[in-house]
Amino acid sequence: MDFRFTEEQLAFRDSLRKLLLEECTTESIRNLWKSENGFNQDRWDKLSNLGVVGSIIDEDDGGLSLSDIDLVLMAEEVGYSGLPEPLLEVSWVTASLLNRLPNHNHENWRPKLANGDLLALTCHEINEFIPNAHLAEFFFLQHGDGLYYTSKADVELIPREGLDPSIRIFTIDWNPKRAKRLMHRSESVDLWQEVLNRGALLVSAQLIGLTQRLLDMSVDYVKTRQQFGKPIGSFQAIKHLLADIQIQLDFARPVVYKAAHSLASKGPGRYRDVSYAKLASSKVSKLAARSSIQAHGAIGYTWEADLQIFMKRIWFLDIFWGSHSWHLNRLEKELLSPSSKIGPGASFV
Amino acid sequence: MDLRYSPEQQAFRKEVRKWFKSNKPKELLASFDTLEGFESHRLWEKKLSEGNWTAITWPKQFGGRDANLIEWLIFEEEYYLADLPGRVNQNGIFLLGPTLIEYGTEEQKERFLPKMVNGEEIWAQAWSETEAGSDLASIRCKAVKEGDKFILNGQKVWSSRAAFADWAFGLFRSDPESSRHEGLTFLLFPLKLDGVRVKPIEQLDGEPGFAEIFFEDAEIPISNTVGGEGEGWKITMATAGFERGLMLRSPARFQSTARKLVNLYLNNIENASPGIKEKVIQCCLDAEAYALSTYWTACRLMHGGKIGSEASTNKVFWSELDCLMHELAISLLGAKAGLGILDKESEEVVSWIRGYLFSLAGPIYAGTNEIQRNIVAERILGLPK
Repeated sequence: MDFRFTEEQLAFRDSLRKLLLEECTTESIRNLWKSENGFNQDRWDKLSNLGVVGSIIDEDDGGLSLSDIDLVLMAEEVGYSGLPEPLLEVSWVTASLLNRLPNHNHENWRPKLANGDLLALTCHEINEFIPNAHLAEFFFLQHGDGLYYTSKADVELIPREGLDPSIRIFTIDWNPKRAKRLMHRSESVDLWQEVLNRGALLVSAQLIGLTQRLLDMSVDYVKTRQQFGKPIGSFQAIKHLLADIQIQLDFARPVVYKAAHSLASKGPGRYRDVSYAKLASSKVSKLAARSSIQAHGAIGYTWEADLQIFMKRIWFLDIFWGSHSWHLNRLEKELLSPSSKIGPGASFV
Repeated sequence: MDLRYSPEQQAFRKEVRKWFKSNKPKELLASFDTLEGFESHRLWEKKLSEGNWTAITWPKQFGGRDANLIEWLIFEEEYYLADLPGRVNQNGIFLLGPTLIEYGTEEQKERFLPKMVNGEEIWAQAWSETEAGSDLASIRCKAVKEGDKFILNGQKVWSSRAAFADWAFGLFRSDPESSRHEGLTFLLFPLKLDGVRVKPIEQLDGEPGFAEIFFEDAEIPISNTVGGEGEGWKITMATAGFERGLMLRSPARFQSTARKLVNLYLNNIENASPGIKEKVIQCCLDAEAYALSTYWTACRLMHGGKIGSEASTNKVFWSELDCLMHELAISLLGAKAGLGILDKESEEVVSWIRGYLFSLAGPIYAGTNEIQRNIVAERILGLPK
C-alpha cells in the first residue's frame, strides 16, 4: 500500500508546469479568442517536444507509454493553466483508443499522433458538443456502440457558440453508411466504456487544477484589495469563504488520484471511482467559481477579469464526459443496494 | 502508487478479525457516560489489552504493537465492521499517550502508560474554562509552585469523561505575570484528590459526558509536569495536533455510518424526500473521500512527512459529514425520529437518535469549526490576521 506518486512522475509534472507557466499566459489565451482557428501551433509543438502529446502512446510507436496515474498529474496542470489546446481530447482520449485498436487498422496513426502531427478526435455519444472539431483530420465515432472512423471530408461540422470563449465547439453530422466501421458493437462496448471513464477522469483532474487556480487568484486578490483600511482577506467572512474551497479540495484530490489508479489497474471498482472523482471535482470547482466571483466583488463579474477564463472552463468541463446527473445515476446503481461495496475496508480491493 | 494491501497487511487484518470475533462482548454495553456503562467499557479496555489491542500504534515497550498508520487504519476498519463498543479511554490512548511518549519523562511513561493501556486508569481532558473556550490561550486556572509541589486553584469546564474518570490532563497558568501563550504548564492530576471537586454536567442526551472541575488548593507533585514548566502551550498544540490530525476519528467510523445510512434508506424509501437520494450518494462519496485522504496522509507521514495545519481541514470535513449523515437518517426515520434515547424502540432507531445528538457536538469540540477555518485561512492560505 503506497498511495504516493513517484519522484519521476512529480518531476515530469513539474516540467509541464514550468512550460505552461511560460507558454500559457492568460494574455496568450485571450489572443486566441480573436485568432482564426483558436490553436497555438508553437505551443503545441513545445508540448509535443516535451513528450506530453505522445505520453500515453506505446513506446514502440514513439510515445512514452505513460499511464492514467501520470496523466492525472498532467491534466491537473492543464486545468491550472487554462490551456485551450486539445491535449485531453486528442493526446489522451483518442490516443488511448488508438492503443486499443488492432494493428492492421492504425495506418501509422499512433506514431503520427505521438509526434503531434495528427489531430484526431473521439466522438462519444455522451458528448453533444465536440470541442476543437475544426482542427481534426479524423474522427472516431460511436454509433450504436460500434466504432467507426471517418475523415473530415465526410462529416459536416456545425459550429456552435460555446460558453467558454477559449474553446470552439461543434455538433457533428455524419452518416455511418459513409464511414468505415472498425469494430462491431460486441467488440467495442468495453472500449467505449473505458474511453468514457478516461475522459471523465481527465476532466476531473482538470477541474482540480482549475479549482486550485481560482483559489490562488482569489487569495492573491483578497490579500491586496483594501477596504475599511485593511486587506479584505483579514475579514473572517472572506477567510471562511476561501477556507471552504481549500477543505473541499483537500478531500477531492485523493478521490481523483484513486480513480486514476483504478482505471490504470482495471480495478473492479473503476466505474464507481471515476464517477466519485467527477462528482467530487465538479462540486469543489463550482464552489470555487462561485466563491471566487464573490471574493473579487464587481471586478469578478467583468469580461476584463481573467477569472472568467477559468470559471467558464469549469462550467464547460462540468457537462463534458458525463454531467453531474449522469454520474449520480451511475453511482446510484453502484451504491444504493444492500450488497454494494461501501463501508469500512471497502476502499481498496 | 500501489493500492494493494501487502500479504502482511492482509494477515494482520485476518488476525484482528479473528480476535474480535471471539472476544466481542455478548451484549450491547450501556453508554459509557453512565456509571454502569463506564465500568463495563473499562472492562472492555482491559479485554482489549489482553490481546495487545488497546494502543497498537504505541511502541511495544509501552504495551503497543509498533503498528504503522496503515495497520492502524486496518485495525479501525475491522473494529467498526465488528461494531464494537466505544473507546472510553480515548483521551488517554489517542491524546495523552502519544504526548507522553514524545515529551514525557521516563518515570512518567513507566507510571502512567501501563495503567492507561489496561484500562486501570481512565483519562479525562481539562482544557476549557468558562472564559477560555475557542480562545484557549486566555486560561486563568492557576498552578503555584511551592517546593516540590504545584498548588492548583480555579475552574475547568466541558471536561470530557471527567464525571467518572480517574485522572485528567490540562493546562494551567504557572506564571501569574504571564499572559496568552506564555507561562502555561501542562499538568496531570488525579480527579479523586483533596481540593479537586468534580461536578458532572448533563449533555443534550441527559447523560454526564462532561463535567466542571473545581480546584481549591489541590496539591500535586511537580513531577506531574509534562514538558518543562511554561511549555504548556507547545505540549497542548502537540496533543491537539494528534487529536485533530488522524487518530481522533478514523475513517472507518464514517464509512460504517454511511453503510448503515444506505441500508436505512433502502428500508425506508417510503419516508424518503425527493432530494434525499442525491444526498445519500454524496455521503457515500464524502466518507470514501475521508478514507482516501487519510490513507493519502498516512502514506506521506510514513515516509517522513509531518502533520501540519491540514489537520484542521480534517476536523471540519468529518464533523460536517457526520451531521449530514445523521440529519438524513433522522428524516428517514419518519415519526420515530420523535423518540428519546431511553425508549424501548429498536437499537437501530435509538442509536441514530443518539448519534444525531452527538453529531451536533462534532463541529464544536476539539476546536470549533470556525477556529479550524481560521487556521486553514491563515496557515494554509496565508491570509492576514
